[in-house]
Amino acid sequence: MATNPRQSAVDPPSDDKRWRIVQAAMRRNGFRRDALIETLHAVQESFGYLDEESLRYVARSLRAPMSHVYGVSTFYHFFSLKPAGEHTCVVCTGTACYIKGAPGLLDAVGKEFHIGDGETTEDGKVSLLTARCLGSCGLAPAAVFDGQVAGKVNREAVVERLHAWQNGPAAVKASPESSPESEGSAVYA
Amino acid sequence: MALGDYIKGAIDIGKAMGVTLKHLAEKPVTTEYPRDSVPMYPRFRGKHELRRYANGMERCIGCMLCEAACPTGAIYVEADENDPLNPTSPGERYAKVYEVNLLRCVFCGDCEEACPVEAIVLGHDFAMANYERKDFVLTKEQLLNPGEPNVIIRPE
Amino acid sequence: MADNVTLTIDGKQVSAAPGMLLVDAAEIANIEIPVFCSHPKLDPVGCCRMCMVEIEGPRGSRLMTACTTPVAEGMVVHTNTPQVAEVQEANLGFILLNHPLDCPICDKGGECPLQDQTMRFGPGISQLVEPKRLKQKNYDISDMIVLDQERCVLCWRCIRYLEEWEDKPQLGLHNRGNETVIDIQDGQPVDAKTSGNIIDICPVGALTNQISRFAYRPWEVERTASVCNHCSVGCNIRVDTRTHTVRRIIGRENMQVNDQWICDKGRFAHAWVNGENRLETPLLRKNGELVPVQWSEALDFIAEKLQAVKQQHGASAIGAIGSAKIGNESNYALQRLFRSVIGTNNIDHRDGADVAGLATGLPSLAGVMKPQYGPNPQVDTIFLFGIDPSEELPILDLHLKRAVKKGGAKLIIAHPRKIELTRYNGPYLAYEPGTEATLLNGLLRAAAGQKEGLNSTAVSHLADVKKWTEEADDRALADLCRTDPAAVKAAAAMLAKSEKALIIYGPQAARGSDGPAIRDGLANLAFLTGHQDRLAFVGLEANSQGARDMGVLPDRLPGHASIGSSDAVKRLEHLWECKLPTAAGQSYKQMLDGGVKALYVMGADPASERPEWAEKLDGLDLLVVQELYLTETAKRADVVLPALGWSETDATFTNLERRVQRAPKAVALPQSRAAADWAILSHLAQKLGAKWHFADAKALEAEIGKAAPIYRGLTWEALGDQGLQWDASALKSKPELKEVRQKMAKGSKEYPLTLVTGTVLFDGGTLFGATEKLDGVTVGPVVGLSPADATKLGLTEGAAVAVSSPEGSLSLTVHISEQVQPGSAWIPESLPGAPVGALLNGSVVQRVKVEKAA
Repeated sequence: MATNPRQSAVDPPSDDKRWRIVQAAMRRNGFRRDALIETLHAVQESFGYLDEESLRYVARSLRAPMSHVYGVSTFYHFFSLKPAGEHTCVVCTGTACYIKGAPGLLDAVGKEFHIGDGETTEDGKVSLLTARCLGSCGLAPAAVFDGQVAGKVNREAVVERLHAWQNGPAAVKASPESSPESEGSAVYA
Repeated sequence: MALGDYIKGAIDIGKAMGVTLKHLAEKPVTTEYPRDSVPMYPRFRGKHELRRYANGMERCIGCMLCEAACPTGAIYVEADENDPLNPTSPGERYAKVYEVNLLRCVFCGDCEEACPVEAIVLGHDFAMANYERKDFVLTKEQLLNPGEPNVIIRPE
Repeated sequence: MADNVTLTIDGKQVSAAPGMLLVDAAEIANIEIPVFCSHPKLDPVGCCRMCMVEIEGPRGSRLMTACTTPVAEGMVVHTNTPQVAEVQEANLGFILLNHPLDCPICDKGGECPLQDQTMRFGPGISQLVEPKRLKQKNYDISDMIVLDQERCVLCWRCIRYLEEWEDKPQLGLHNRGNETVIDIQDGQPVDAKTSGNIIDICPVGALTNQISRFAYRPWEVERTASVCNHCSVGCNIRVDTRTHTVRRIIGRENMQVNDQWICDKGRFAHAWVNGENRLETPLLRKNGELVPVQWSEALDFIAEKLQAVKQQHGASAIGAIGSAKIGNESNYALQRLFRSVIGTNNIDHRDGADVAGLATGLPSLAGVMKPQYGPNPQVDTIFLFGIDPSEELPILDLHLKRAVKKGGAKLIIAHPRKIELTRYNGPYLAYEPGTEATLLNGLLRAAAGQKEGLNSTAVSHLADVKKWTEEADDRALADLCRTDPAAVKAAAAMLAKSEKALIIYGPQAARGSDGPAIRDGLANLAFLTGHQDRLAFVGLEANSQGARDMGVLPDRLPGHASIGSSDAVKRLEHLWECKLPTAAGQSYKQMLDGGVKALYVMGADPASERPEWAEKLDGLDLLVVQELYLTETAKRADVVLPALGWSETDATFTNLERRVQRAPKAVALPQSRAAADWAILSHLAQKLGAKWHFADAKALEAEIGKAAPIYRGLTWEALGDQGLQWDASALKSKPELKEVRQKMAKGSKEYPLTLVTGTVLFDGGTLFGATEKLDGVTVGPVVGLSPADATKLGLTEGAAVAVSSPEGSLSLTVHISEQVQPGSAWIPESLPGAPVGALLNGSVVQRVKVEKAA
């Protein structure tokens, strides 16, 4: 092989400075193919998601088949292939929350915002995710709004909170806990 | 010859006439075929039929299992792919050609048994005489449109 | 080799090579271990867990996967304990949880390992009450393969095949857990040239054949072991037929030829056998129209006409063209008829006379294949000159990839296009067509400069070599050939250093007026670097080798004997009971250029090759065409005779490594009155007064064995279903160095580009075009341009252009390709409606210009 394994012959797709972080991660591992997950971690952390362009870049840099790169990135939940929304709402679907009505919450969000698990609204404001168990079974059904766990949420509360996000940061700032609180549920920071 | 014999003979005749007269009043066991139809046992195996679903779709999916099961090689099936917009049968596959050669068929019913979708059944029509050899090969068109559909599905 | 290890499987002593996997060892002992993911030709992964066996160990017996565990000395294995049975049953239960039970509509039904193993090892009843998982069904991953993700059991066989053999990882495993699917990426179809093999190895009905979809049931078809006739590799195939039609073709194992793989052309393009437009009755021209006639009338007419021409103009005014697509028997019968009954040597086939002297073909395919299954490479360097196996011989391409990847062989490629195999980082020698001799002189010059590795007999002529090749210096290589001189040096060094190098070249490099110089150049190079035994010319047609072996050549008798060889002449005159003509005959080109008055064409279509020839054919006194279809040539004929083609009649074909293989009759055409080529010729011979009594193809084979000593003993029975290679050692000539004059390519301002032509796999020819479902992959009428030239000419992909040469013009669309070298235009042969022959008109090297269509 004429090419030096310690060097990538492939140029990053753009001048974006974040590619340097990705390149550094690859260099640290000597552009070895088995460092694929670490490289994808670097991309995910710098860009927030993995798009096709970045997957192709990683595949070519590590000389790994695209099918492997794509397979790995769809296998792990940590990697997301679409940009996440500005805000994320995680609905717990653990056993307790499931029984207490988590499917209803997902259903309500789906009807109102036309998004399913792992999807983002068209305006890019809100992403919906599910989790297996948040460990807050006593507060079932539980959801996480931008890192804040909310317990005993109901359909209206979730929908209202998400509407508030869509309608701009002002609305959320003005009454940060208004919707869950007013519905009588507690917010745990 | 004794008188007794005459009397005995007369009684016997009388008995016999009695039976005759009794049956004269009864409904006959024979039927006036072909004017009247012949009653069939439910499990009678006659001429083949291909069934449809209630929505008009053909049941047959052209899997050729009947052809494989047929001990005399009387069935010929040619399958093809359904047009997804206008399917002939549920699923991806349907029978483009389905022919039963009545001259070969021994009416054993193995095809019915092999059929996974209960598409081919042996009906109650037994009058299959014809004038030409080629007319004994039932086409799919004929099989799908029997005169009187037979709805009995044998449980076995 | 290390000693075998002995182990015990189910109480049986088994001796196996160290490193062998347990599944393979059990196979030797005839013990069945059920598998899904394991495949003898693929690396193990152990993902289906079906092959669990109990292996006794120091701490009691443990369950292990037999497909990933290598054998060890003293190992004790049980495959039929209650624990194993329980695991197998549970495992099948899990696999069947989500496997749809649509077996009646599944094409795999009847030959499905999952069905078989469920019956044998599986649970009797389903334990699943919930609805099954739903995924994509009936989903095309290419124009030829349908994927059903619901049926897939995630065994990775298709993924591994594409990675390990094709080196084109186009299928991948996506998502996780219950949602795991096998899929292509971004809707990019699988385009590997041998992709169809994943259908054969799929253990369920997840991958099925789109072309033969629902056309067969494994229990309803008749299976005939045959060989493919699309290219000269001669892959072993099985032809499945039903009601007089070919339903599907699948690969058949022959470890000497194709392993068990076949290419997509061989697998899918078979509709031509049962094509609608097949000729079914003899046609005779009456009042300008071809009308159907009886066989006797047609043959009487031909016999009479041939005798008349012979009387008027002599036997030398009659010629015959054979075909490298047709079996040995018919080609033999053709040349015998014209040599012994008519008395002329005007016999040839396409590309025949150009390569007549090249007797031997590839030493052996197995030599190239060897690295696949053992670290014992038979060749360490492979030099491809003017041949593109990816498009021309896909299974050879598969073997080469394997030799490079597994056997560590090095690849040197010289081709006017940067062909697909150049991705393996060997030296790539681009060249301008017409400068091959210079390039070879350059290589010879560089090789002569090597200190080691040269042939000791050739070294004594080193001074001469240096003198001839003086002109082929770096500047000549760079300016004239447009070859990188550094790559030439690297290639020469590799050839000299190599212990055993294989040099393969194809008709592209051997035909035309430059052909002899190129052949001598290659022979010089092979001799100097010590590889003269492994210099191989390979023809591209299924029977290129056989047609030459049979003597369908103007200057060679059967068995590669020269027409002047008194031994051969004596033998044949005795066998054929005749006096043989002594003068060399006319070549294919000479006959078509107007050298004959009457022409007998068997399975060739010269009219579509070149417009000028088509006109000349019109002017003949007699043109007889023996064909499957009414081709351009047949349309001009006085008599058209309907022939039976491949798989309709028994025939033998000789592949590129001289392996004679059987292609028996698999289908009969009940309504057709066509006859086998040799039978037609035999009847014609009788009409001409000869005593020919050939009852069948086997009788001809027996005679071929007598006429050509190299075919002695190669009878139908002896060939078996794996074929036999004839021995070429008697035909070896003494190698010598010959001076090769380099020719200057003529540059021209008006025609700035050099035309590069060649074969593509999915062409628009009669045979491939008959399968309508493959229209999507057929290469259209395109001209390939390099990105640089396209920019210079202001052309974009898909632009309509007129390509013209001094000889003619063609309307094509532009295809921009990195493979095409700057300064050249690539137009493949046999494109639908675009005969590149119109531009070439017989020459091999041609300059063209490309202009935007008006």
